[in-house]
Amino acid sequence: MLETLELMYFMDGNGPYVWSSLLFLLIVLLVNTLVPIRRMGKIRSEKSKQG
Amino acid sequence: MNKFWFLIKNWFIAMGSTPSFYKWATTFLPWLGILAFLTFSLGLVWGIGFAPSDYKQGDVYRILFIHVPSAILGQSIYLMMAVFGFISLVWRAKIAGMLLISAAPLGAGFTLVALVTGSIWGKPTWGTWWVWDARLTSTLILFFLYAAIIALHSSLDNKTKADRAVSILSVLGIAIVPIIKKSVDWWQTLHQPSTFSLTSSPSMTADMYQPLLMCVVGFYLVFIFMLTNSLRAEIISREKGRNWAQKQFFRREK
Repeated sequence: MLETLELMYFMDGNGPYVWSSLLFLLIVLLVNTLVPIRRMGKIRSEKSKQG
Repeated sequence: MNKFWFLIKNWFIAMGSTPSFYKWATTFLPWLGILAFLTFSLGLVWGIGFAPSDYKQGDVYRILFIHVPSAILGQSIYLMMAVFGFISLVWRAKIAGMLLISAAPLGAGFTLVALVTGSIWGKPTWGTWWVWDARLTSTLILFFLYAAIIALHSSLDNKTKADRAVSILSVLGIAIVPIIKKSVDWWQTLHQPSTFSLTSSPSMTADMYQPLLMCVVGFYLVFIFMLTNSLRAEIISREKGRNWAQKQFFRREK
């Protein structure tokens, strides 16, 4: 267990490896979640333009 | 008991219909999202913040809680796509083709995360970002397969033909999954043996293994959430002209 936030952030010099991995994962998940939502929004706005 | 199986069977039959699936997904998606987010966050916080350090690798091993579930998802999504491909080819179920193409970007995403996090983990432990070793190379081929499926589907305007083409490709490409799985046993590799095995007990202690299991469950739930979300968009994109879609999707504007 990592006792303090500082220890958790630096992880004995390994922090950048762990946090960059987590950041990359979150970016990929966010993109894969937002793309279909944007796609549906686009269909809705096209439909409303058509009346 | 018979009634239970009858209900399950009827539910699956109902989910094969796009309007029923869309209606079901719209109701359950927020709850699924909450459950997925909680399990996923709990697994990652437990693994990255509270699991003990590894005696050899120190804290860098915590990448395992991201890398292993992503790699498992990357392979099992492909397996699932091949099953949908088979169903689409044999029974011509429209929703199977839609599921296949909705799952492809998600599988590609998880495989990419497995490759990138593996590479990040490789630098401090192996001393290099990349080696052309059997496990890494076969996983890279899996990523290219996903990319090929996405590219092939988007290159064809006729969606029925596109579904058929990617179904064939996904069924043929299934050979890559056992190759990835067994690559660490068949060839001399830098990569460690599989973390999960059905035939042997885990090679790590319970206080590392339990958060890892929680992460795997969380990642699966996140995948189910994203697949449902993506499939809704695919259904609406193909069936926006149909009456049910007009009523259910565009009703907010009326």
